[in-house]
Amino acid sequence: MRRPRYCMVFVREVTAIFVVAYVIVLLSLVVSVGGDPESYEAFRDFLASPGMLVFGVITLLFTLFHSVTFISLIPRGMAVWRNGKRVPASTIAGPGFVVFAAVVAVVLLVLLP
Amino acid sequence: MGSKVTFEVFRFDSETEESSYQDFEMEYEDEWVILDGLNYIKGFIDGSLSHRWSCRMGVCGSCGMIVNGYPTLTCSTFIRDYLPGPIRVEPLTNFKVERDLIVNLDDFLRKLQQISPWIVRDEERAIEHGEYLQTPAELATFKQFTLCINCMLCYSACPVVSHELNFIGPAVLTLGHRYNLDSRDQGADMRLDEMLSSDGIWSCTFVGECSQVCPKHVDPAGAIQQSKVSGVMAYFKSFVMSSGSRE
Repeated sequence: MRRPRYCMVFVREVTAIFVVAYVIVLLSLVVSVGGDPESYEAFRDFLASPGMLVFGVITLLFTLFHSVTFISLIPRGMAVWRNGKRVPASTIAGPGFVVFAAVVAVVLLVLLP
Repeated sequence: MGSKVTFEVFRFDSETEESSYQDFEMEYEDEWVILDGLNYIKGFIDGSLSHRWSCRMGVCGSCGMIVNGYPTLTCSTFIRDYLPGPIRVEPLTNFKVERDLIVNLDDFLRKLQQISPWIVRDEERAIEHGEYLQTPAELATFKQFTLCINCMLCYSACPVVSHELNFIGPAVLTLGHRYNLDSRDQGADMRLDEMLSSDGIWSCTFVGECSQVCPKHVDPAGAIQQSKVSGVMAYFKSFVMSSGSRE
């Protein structure tokens, strides 16, 4: 922990666990939709419980952190050259952030009443 | 000469395997770098101190050490940046210590040779045909990676090297990538066999500390990620080619 970068990478790796956990929750939701109405309602109640709401908020924050850091790192791995000059990192990461923001906006539009 | 500073220097005797820190207080001049301080200690205080150095201008890469816990090229780091001290000087971590501040380079040199860091040609052209020409644009794609001086600070900073002794490591993988990008080279396939092995690029977790400590701004972490992209492309290319040849 003496080096902040080590700590940052460790935190970033840990965020992936929450992303995976949320995928499992979503898959469970799909399974409950396929089941009887009672089990679906029970699962909805479970998702609305305070613990799951806290889990959802934490997962949202971690997913945002994971996504932003991932997109920021893309230019390091992609060396694009144009007219003998390397394309700036912002030109490569920028579209990534735009697409990410667009997807988030669409999801919010669909979900929010 | 005027102000005083204290160096806490790591001492190690390989015969007795005893290690300790020894304090050296000395007067220094404002323009002195850490290496000047070590040379002063060896020249005027304790001649038994052992450390490696050569060019004193950030070119040879010999004088990499840990200064106050951070991998540092001691000829390029001023004493005044660490005042009021004390300044702790230790050998590079992740290497076996030979004596005092000198580390064993055998493993690094073995890995270096493993990656074939030279231009590989399928068939050498006769000298009378002249040199292999290259455009400035072709040179630009890999020039940054030629600036590596093998100071090994990146090995000292890398958490993967500290846990996986066989990991080829940042500098050598960067050098491999440098030659793979060179338009005059034809040895990328051979080199990628080594780089894509279990001890190669996929062991890198992209902490990026190697690029932080690099005194030449080579960006080994970037080079390794670019190699990963090249490796994946090569895999799919070979997959498509082999599928095509079966038809």
